[in-house]
Amino acid sequence: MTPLQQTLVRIALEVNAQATIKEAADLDRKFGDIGIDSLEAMSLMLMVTEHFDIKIPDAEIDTVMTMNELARLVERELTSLGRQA
Amino acid sequence: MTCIVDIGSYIPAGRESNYAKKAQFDIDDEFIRDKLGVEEVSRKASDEETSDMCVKALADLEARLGRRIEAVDCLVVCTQNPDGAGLPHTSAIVHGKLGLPQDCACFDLALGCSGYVYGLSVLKSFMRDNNMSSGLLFTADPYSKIIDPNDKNTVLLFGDAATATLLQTGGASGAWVPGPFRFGTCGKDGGALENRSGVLHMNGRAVFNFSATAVPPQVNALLKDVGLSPSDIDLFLFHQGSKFIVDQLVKRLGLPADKASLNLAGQGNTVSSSLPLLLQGHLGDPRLHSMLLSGFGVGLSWASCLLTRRQ
Repeated sequence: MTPLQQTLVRIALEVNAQATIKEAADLDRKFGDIGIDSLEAMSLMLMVTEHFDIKIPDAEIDTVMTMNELARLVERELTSLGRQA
Repeated sequence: MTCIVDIGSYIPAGRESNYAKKAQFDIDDEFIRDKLGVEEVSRKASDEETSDMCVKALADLEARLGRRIEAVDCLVVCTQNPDGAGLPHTSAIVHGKLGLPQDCACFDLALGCSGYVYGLSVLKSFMRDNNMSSGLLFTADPYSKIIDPNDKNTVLLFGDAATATLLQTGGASGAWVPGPFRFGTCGKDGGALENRSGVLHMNGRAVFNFSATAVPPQVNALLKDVGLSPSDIDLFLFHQGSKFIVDQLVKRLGLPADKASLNLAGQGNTVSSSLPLLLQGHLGDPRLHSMLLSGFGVGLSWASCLLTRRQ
């Protein structure tokens, strides 16, 4: 996993310590399939935007279904701000 | 000094079970119990008006007090779902139904989930400035009037209830004294929770983000105002938006889980009635000497206050 992916997994496990994110393939599984429900996904998004001090429009957040999709979105936002993950 | 004498409540007998809606909304028992925290929502009768609910809450208050309340100096109803179209004001309708004397000030307070804390502050100031000795603060915001039964965001959460709080200047030793207060508003994001043409719409993510980020700083600022830390407060009473949001606030404020009370399983989020419903169950607990109330929602608006016992 990249450092960004590792950070996101750490935050996801803070949201739900029982989430099943054990290997890289889990990052492409839908949130519901790794044990993160819709409310926890909301909490995850908030914690991620707070951690990286970024803002992601609701319309884009609503399309995120997996950890890797989230990672790509965060990376894009950081790049647009001239920052590194 | 204005004290809370007691709180009466009315939760309509009608119930809708969230377990009966599992298939419709693709949710399971765990989500209902551990995340929403709402197992069933209360529903008023179709012919029951907001003012009727206030009158029934007062009957409960009178039963608790063991006496009739035949006169008060002021009467406030906090609601955004008033009788009819809101004209005349619901507080005047309640005044009429209760047959109170004419030398009684009545007005409505149009606030949602922050309304009870606002109401305590407004009544406290109003009573003091006008040399009044007693006041009634009602909350009654029956969202069933505006809920879309097919909207998962709202129908599983909101329930109907009313409360009546008797405030009195003076009061016995040990009575609860509200204040100081802190208030906040973010009007530019008010569209996250609004009545559009008679139907309630809620952007759950926006309301969650607001609640999780706005409430803890206000609570901490209030505690700093009075030189206290969270460990000095016996009990935190947060607006019962959902179990999930209360859990988030507990986590973000670093509180022990048993320092925040929860009581929404049997009726749901009752908007401005949620805090007084919760508070009602703790008023008589002799172990408690300080509580902190925080309401947040429609507006977006948030308000917090301390409750301490009169010496």
